[in-house]
Amino acid sequence: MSTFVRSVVRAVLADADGPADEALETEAYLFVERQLSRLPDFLHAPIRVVSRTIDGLALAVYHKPFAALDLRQQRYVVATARSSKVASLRDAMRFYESLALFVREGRVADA
Amino acid sequence: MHETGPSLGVPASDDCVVIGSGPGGSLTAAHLAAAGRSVTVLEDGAHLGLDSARAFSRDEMEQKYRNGGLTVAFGPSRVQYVEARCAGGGSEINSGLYHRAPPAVLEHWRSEFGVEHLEESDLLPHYEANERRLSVSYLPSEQAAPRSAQLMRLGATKMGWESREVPRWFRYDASDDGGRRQSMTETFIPDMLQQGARLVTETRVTGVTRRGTQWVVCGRRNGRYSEPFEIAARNVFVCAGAVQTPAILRRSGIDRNVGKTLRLHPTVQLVAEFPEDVTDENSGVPSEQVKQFAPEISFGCSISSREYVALKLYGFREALRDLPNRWRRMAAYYAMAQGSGTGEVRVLRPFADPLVTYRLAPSDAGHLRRGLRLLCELLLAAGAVALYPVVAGAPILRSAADVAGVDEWFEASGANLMTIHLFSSVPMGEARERCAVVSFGRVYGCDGLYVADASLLPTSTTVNPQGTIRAIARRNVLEFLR
Repeated sequence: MSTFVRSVVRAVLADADGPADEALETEAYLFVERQLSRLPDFLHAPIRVVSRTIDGLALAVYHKPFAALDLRQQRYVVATARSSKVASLRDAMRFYESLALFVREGRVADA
Repeated sequence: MHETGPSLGVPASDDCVVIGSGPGGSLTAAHLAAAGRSVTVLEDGAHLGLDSARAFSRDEMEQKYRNGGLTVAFGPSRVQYVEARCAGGGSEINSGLYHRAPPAVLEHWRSEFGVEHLEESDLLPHYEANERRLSVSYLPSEQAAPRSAQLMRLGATKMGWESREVPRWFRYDASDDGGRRQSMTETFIPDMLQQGARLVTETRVTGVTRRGTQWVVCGRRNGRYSEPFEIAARNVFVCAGAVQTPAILRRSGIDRNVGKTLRLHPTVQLVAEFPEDVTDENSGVPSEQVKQFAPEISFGCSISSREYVALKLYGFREALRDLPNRWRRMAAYYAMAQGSGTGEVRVLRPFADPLVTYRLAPSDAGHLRRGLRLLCELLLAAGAVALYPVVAGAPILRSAADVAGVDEWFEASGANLMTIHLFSSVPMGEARERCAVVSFGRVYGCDGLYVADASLLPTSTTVNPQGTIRAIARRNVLEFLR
């Protein structure tokens, strides 16, 4: 799960803003992990299932787990999940993307 | 083996235990302690104060929001809501806007729920006392209002609608025109501690049970995997908010009319972009509101910090990419519906967190659609060049013709609705068939067990409820002490 989350955060931040910023990625990844642990406890299992489904989407399309894809492929999976007809996939992607963006923009505000 | 009070640094048995230190709990505890009663306050979160984090920042979200702010009322139209989890409760994280309950609301509560002693004249001394303690006040000058608030007023004036500044609990010193927001950690918590009340933080109450002539409060300290504790008390005041209070009562087997009538103010938001800068790092939440269509619909200004604007622009990738160049020209606004739907707070064993469900009333869906359209008209009149509704699949609106199309594409189920006002989950009144507690907060059939928070309010206040919560909490605790 941690590898998957870190990869999603990296893909989201790169998707939104060009070149990679490793310190930002780490900060955002750690925040997303903490927020995952803070979710209402009855949501812990569902978010894991949905996250594994997104990982499964990567396997289905590219025959590799999400973390093993290159950035272009990861962006494709992210965009596919974001616009999926399955609400839980859209929700999960919104969850990861929103938290990563919140860190990126808040970092500027805090500076 | 349960720990007892002494391991928490408090007596194993006390006269009064207050669960929660938010607006209802800290005010209740301060009055009990001032009257010489022995009081222990149990707070789920930490005692941090206003300065522990920048307002509306990630740090604040992590420190003071329950579940990191990731709480949702599930249903056909999901509503994201926010609860505090810190000493001082919601007063530590909100914008400090202050209203008294409209007279028509009090009349409705008296006639439909049989709430006694709830005339305006009954509440007036409580409003006034709280307003003095909280320094409820207006901005020192009209020019002190953020530009985004001035634009809302300009748009309302052009539309011929009523717009007004709402007072806030802000203290303005002669030497400091910016003022300082007030909260429970600035007022009633210091008061209660000075009067001898004990505040035990990071202590989660799981339930209460009757044992002889006393109530036993059960919980866990420092996280859910720590050892449980018990404290006995003759009187227990449950003040944990509109979600946690019914959850505690239902876990305790007290469920008659408890947690089944949760109400809230569903709110739809948008980001408006103007040709000039309208926002900066110090804008906070502007206190301008438009009440032309109240009580059904109200408009106001939302937090417009850069990270919150980013969240609201989630569906607009191009604007999001260009945020560094455009953020200062953007401000967030909301349209709030009265809230006629109802929800439920359920306990899901073995989980610790309650499940909240909510069903939007058809009238609210209509009010949100109309409210969004009217708000867009106001903001275009104020000079906005682009409007970004926080609604899945919504287009960018740039003209009156675009705004006219809102009625065609707006669906409440697709709107990312949110609320910060939750109430009515343990309604008060003498109409026993629909109420859970009597007019002064005692739980039916449970001598010595009281509720004193937003849960009590029988229906929507149609305005920010915290002024009403505090007035009723003061009225109730003084009646208890009589």
